[in-house]
Amino acid sequence: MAQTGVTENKTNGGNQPGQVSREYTHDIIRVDDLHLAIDLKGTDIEVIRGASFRIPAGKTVALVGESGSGKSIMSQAILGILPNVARITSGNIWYRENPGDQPLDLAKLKDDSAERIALRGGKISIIFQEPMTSLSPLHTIGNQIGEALMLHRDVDKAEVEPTVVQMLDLVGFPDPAAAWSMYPMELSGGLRQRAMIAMALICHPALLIADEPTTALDVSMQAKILSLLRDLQDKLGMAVLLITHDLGVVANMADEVVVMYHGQIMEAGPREAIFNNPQHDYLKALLNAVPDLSMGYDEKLQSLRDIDHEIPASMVGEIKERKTHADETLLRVRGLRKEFTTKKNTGWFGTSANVVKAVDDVTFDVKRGECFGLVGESGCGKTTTLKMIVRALSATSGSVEWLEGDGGDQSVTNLLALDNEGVKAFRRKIQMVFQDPFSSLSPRSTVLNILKEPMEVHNMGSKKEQAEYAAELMRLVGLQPTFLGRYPHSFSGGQRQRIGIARALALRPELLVCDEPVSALDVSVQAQVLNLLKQLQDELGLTYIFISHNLAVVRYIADRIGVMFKGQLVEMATREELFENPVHPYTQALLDVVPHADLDHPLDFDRINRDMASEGRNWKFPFTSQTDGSDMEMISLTENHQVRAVAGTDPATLLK
Amino acid sequence: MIRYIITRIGAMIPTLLLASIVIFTIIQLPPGDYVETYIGELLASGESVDLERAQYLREEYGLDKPMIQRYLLWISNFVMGDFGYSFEYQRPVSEVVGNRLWLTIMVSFATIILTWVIAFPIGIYSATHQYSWGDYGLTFVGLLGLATPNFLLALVMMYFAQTIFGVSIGGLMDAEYIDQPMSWAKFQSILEHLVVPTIVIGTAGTAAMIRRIRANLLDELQKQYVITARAKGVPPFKALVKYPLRMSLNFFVADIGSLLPSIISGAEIVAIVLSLQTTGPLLIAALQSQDMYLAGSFLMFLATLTVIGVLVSDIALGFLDPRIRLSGGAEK
Repeated sequence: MAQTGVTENKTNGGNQPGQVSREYTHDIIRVDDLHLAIDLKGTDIEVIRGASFRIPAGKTVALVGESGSGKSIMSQAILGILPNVARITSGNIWYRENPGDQPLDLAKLKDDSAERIALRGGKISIIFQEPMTSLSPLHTIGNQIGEALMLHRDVDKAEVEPTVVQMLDLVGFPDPAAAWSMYPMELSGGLRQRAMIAMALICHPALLIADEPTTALDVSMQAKILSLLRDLQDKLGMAVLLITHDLGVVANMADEVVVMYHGQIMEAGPREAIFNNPQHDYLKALLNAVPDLSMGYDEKLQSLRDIDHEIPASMVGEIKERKTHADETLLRVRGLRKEFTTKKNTGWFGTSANVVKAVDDVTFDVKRGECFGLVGESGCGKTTTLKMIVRALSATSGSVEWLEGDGGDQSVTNLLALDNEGVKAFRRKIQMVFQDPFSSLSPRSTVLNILKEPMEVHNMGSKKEQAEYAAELMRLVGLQPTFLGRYPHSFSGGQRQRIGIARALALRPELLVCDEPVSALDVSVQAQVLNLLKQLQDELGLTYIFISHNLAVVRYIADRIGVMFKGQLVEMATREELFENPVHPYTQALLDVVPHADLDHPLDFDRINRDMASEGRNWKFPFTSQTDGSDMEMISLTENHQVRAVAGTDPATLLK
Repeated sequence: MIRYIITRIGAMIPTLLLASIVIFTIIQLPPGDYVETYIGELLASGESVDLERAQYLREEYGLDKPMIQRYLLWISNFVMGDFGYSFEYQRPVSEVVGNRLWLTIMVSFATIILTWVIAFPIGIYSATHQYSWGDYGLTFVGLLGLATPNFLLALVMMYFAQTIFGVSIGGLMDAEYIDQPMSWAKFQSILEHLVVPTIVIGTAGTAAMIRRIRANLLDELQKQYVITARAKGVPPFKALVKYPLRMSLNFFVADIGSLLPSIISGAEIVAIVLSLQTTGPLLIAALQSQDMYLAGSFLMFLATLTVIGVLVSDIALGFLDPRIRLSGGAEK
């Protein structure tokens, strides 16, 4: 399989329509039948089993696969930064910088040999997924980037700063000269990733390995970084090995695609062949498992590994009762505000206080039985809004009302006014599912204890009933009750997230608040967890508030969607309405930067560079305030579609 | 930052005041006073004491006044640099302590430097070669050092020094140099005597330090920025020293706070076993005989040094780590 992939490449490689036209000259990297083993307590586990592929000079090759498929360790092998336990057992990695050079076998070189060290950072460099942790917090940006330059190029000390500042300018730092002496902690995630790119490219390498470079960033930042990478590739002419699990990114960036599964190459070839005519079952399954903006509204994702679950008998009664109240308002959020005062240390002399409006006048309703989605870039205030609703943070002003009963005996409770006892009682009705399945479960408790804890806090049933109910919860999320005695570390990310969902359901809540529940999961299990959430909502009559920065995910699961920008809701509509007829410029911009996993909707990189509507400055009238912001309000276009504009604007003019 | 230092120094005053009250109260807690202990000793040796003399002594030392008054007298004198009068030595406290102070500081410094010189390379080796034979072997030796009581080691070494080398290693210098002015011969004698106490006191500290360096460095070695450094082609040794080692030093700097007081006291039991003329045994004797001003002033010294040490640590951390220097507190 793998062998044919490579030979096929040889004939097909070269120009691809729609891509940067650069003549095919030679392969800079040729991986030939590579075997790599990890030593696990004395036994070798083979993680790469006979992989072969190539990286043509100046082209982008995407290495696709789920976590654990061996794609990251492959990049480490090429770069020579394998962990101590890993070892290449056989095979070659041929490296040839120029067409006429004698090929060099990287697999035979020791990781710390002088030849290897000279290549690392000089000719082959890497950027990582986590911009927050990949830079040293103790050294300035200039120091860290300049170090790479001084290691590999024979430069004068005086030249280092101007060269680095020039590079920082190239990767889009707003004030490159100031960034030279800044520390990573003073920069945002996007800027840190840019600094990382500057560091990788300062020596003009022949090959850049990008290991999930945008996975930790939100869509608008992702589009900017991808556009930057393509730009720099044009200017510097390096080859890029793009490791990702996001097929949308692949469709927009890659010339050739290599699909990896369990340490083997499943399929390799030019981008068009991979997307239009996938051969291997795994690739087809992967293409079906990813939520995409171009899929039908009621289309179901095909999970790679489906799970069966059952509803415990004890829950069925409540569900019927709940379903009869469908379509009534359950939660009413009015004028919610949160202000943070940050003290910024201004150096050695004192501090200055700064008020940040994290959430600014947010108003929405959640109906019983629906899923309300909140989308926006990181830092737009969506998580803060959720935290105020569950009373994990105190609100500066506003109200959150919980409505119960119907007709005559309707009761309204203001959640923000509850005292501690009241909050505790209310926690039974609202529960939360967290983003990170690894840190949200205590590593020192068994699954049984994790599931029992909420019941113990709320005195639900006897010890025996609690244990029985925990077993039912496990079945409810499709896990074996026999797993109850295990600790969280023995589960995969997807299974942990299901345990997190089971814990949230332990108190039989009515409203489930989900904070990016699938963004930390691998694509192959994303679909599984999304489908489970969807089924549970339907079967248990649950109401969701679901936040995510991934528009495709929200589109898949939510009925109504609110778009947040800098603490404010700018547009709110039903799913179909929002995606078919987005009115606000920010919503439109957000939709434009989502990479599609097909070749018919390429990202418009020129536009992304030209006007960033996410800046908010370039919005046309009536979307920008003419005064200090007090003249803005939500204007109803239809019953289910509101948009933030200058008060008194005629809805008809907005709709056109 | 300057404002921060000023507020921190301001906060030291109530802390020290509180410490002085606690110290004074605890010294006064046991029944009786120095005069009683003194009379008891005289009686035990068969001498007779008349009550008038006891009364005279009490008045002389101010022991007949109420506790609050005695405290106020002591603390106000302390602040002005008069540390009181030692009953036992019949000399001002500053003289009694001062004589021994520089010897103590020398022993402590020698110990600390020995600890660092041994612990750093071994700790770094253990962390970078985790679970290797070298790591296990060094860890084993380190744990032996940690588990052996210092005073026992001191006795064992004294025994072997006596039987094998025929030298007496007690004391900090040969007897003939005690109370002599400093000379080259005396300095040599001190250096000779310094070897054993340094090794004995240093063992436990070294072992603990190795474990801490190893644990902290192991944590840092896992971090992504270390891989970034490798990936940009930094040679292995430089990549170790510039990034993870520098980061793992934070704990070490934070340790200065507890290091400062231990320079002038510490290792009391070993000092008694090896009969070193350091301040450790002095403090113990003063507490035993209820030599109130000597003990009180000494403990007050230690408290002051602790507080200053912690402040020095915090300021040094601010210099070394931009995360501490630049991040302000955010309100929830």
